Amino acid sequence: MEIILKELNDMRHKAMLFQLISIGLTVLAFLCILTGAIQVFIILIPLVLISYFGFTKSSIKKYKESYKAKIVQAVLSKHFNQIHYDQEGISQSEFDQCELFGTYSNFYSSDLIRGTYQNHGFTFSDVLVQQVHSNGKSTYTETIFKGSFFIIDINRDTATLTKIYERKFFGGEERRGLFSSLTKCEKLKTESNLFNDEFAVYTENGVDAFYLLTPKVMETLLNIKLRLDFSCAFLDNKLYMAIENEEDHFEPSLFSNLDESVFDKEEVACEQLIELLKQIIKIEWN
Amino acid sequence: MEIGLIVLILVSVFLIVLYNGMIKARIKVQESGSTIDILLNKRFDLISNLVEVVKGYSKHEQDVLNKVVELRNTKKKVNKNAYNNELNNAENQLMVIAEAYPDLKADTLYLELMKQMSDIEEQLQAARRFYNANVSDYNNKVETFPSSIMAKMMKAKRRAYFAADEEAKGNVQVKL
Repeated sequence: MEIILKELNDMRHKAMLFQLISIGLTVLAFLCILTGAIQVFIILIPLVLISYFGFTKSSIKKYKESYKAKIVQAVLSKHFNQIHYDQEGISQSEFDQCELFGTYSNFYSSDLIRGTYQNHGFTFSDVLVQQVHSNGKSTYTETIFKGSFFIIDINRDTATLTKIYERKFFGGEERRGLFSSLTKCEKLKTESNLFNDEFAVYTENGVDAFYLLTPKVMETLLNIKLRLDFSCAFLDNKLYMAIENEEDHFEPSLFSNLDESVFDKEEVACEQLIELLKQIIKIEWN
Repeated sequence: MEIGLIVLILVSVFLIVLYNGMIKARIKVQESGSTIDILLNKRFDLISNLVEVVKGYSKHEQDVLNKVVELRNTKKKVNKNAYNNELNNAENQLMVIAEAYPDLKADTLYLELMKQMSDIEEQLQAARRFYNANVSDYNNKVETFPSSIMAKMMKAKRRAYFAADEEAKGNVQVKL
C-alpha cells in the first residue's frame, strides 16, 4: 500500500509542479502586458499553451486515472460483486434514453459503475448537464443537472416511457427543457392529491404509468423525496433516477497529500453511494 | 361594429376550446374503457385455460366449470362492473376447487397460468385507475363552469366509475 501511495504522491507532485509552472508563466505574460513588454509577451504565449496543454493537463489526467484505478477500484471491489468500473462515466446516448432533461448544450460524466446490489442490477455515474445561453452580447452557462445518475433493473415490464419530475417553486419541469422533449408524453394526474402536489407525471401510456405507480410505489417515492431531490423515469424494465446532490464522487484533490486516510475518504464516498442505492431499491413491486 | 366582431370571434374561440376539451375528455374515457374491455377478455381467456387444466384433475365439479365457460356469451360483458364481478366469482370458485387438489397446485401449466393471472389482475387494476382518472376529469368538465355550459349543449352526462368489487376481490387469493 505504501508503494502505491508513494507512486501516486510522486505523480501528484509532478502534476502540481506543471500546474504551478503554467500559472507562473500566465502571470508573467499578464505582467508583460501591463508593463508594455509585448515582445516578451509574444514569446510567453506559446510557452503557456505548451506547458498547459502539453504537460499540465496530461499529467493531471494521468494522476487522476492512476488514483481511480488503484484506490477507487480497490474500495469499490470490497463493497460490490462483479463490478465494472470505468473512469470515463456513462455515455450520453445511454443517459438520453430516459429523456429526463430534454435538450441541453453540455454533457459531462465520470465514474461509471455497473454491478449488482442486493440482487438489483445497477448502473451509476456522476453527471453534469449544462445549457449555454447567449443573447449575442453575453453568454452564461446554466447548470441543469449535477449529481448522481442511477439506472436500476426493475421487475416491471413496460415498453413505454413514464417520467416523474418533482415540482419546484419556479417550474422545475420547464427549467429542464421538458416541453421540447415531451411531444409523445401526456401529463397524468394520479388519484393521490399529495403525490400530485409533489410530482408531475408525464407518460406515453396512462395504463403503463398506473401499472408502475402503484399506491405503494407512490408512497415510497414520497418518502424518498423527503431525503433527496430527484427526477426519475421508467422505460423497458429500467428505473432511471437523477439525484440532484451536487456531488462528484471519487475525485482526488491535487493539493492534498495522499496517506492511508485516503482509503477512508473513498470508503465514505462508497457508503454514500450505497445509501442512495438502498433508498432507490425500496421502490419495488410484489 | 368592430367591437361586436371581436367579441363574436372571442366567444367562438372560447366555445371551440370548450367543445374540443369535452370531446378530448370523452375520447380518453372511451379509449381507457376499451383497454379495460381488452384486459377483461384476456382475463376471461386465462380463466378458460385454467378451467381446462382444472378439468384434468377434477371429475366431480363439472357444473361449476361449465358455468365458468358459459360466461363467454353472457350479456353482462356490456357492463364492465358486472362482468368483472362475474369473473371474480368464477376465479374464486376455481380457487376453491384447486384447494382440494394438491397435485393441481403443483402443475407447471397451472402455476404459469396463475402467474399470468396475477399479472393481468395488476394490469386491470392499473387500467381501472386510469379509466377512473379520465372519468373524474370528464365528470368535472360536465359539472363545473364554464365547461358545464358546453356539456349541457352536447347533452353530456356524468359517467360511472369502474369500481373494483373489493369484497369479491378480497376473496380471490391468487397464490403461486
